[in-house]
Amino acid sequence: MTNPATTMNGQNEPLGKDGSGDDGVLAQIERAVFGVNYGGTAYTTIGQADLIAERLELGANQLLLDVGTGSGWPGIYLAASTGCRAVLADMPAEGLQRALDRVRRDGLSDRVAVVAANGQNPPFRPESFEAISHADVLC
Amino acid sequence: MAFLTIEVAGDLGKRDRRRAAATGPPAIATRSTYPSLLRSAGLADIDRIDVTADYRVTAAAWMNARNAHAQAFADEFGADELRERNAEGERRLSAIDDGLLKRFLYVAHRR
Repeated sequence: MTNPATTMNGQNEPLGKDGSGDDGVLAQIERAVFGVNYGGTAYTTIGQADLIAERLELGANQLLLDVGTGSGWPGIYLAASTGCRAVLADMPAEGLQRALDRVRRDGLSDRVAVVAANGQNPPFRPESFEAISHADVLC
Repeated sequence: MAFLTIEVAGDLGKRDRRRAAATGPPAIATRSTYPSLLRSAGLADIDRIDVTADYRVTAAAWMNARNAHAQAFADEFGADELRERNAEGERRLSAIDDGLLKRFLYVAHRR
């Protein structure tokens, strides 16, 4: 049995062992909720991710910083769907590894980077990004 | 900048505020509004889009999907965890239905 203490994420759903799109129970549950499997554990729908993309006018010329990316939802989706470049930042190594695995699997390594970074003291030069997003981080 | 967040509804009494915080955003430690925080950070053209209805649908979907896979979930995480998650989900839905919890998409731009 998985130890919930190592898999819980605040108010969100438990984190799965991976976000690999396998047929584990959490992947099946996530797919039933969102229609996709990125290891997402909160409430951001595809429609909301699309709205973020639209409002930020994301495209091939944009560099997006996704703060508190978790397993990469919706940051990876935003990069894949809009063609933007993206930096996915968070602290928990487990989520970052899942995000990195998904980036590689989706063939996005040339324009999506996964970094361990604290949102309070981000290790980036000012004005490095055209757009910033986060979802359910301030909760 | 764009971000999605869950908020405790404004103008709540102490009891409702505690109930909302317990089921929604446990880490919130400021009473400032997001628009005022964004303005103080030099952002402008602030849009606040209410996505609470989607939040309600998604919160219910998590519960329904979890219950549809109840045995497999319990096998991996334990029956107690399943019960606790469902109880928490019921409290969250009740708080949303009572207007205690809201979810918003904020969009703001640099001046």
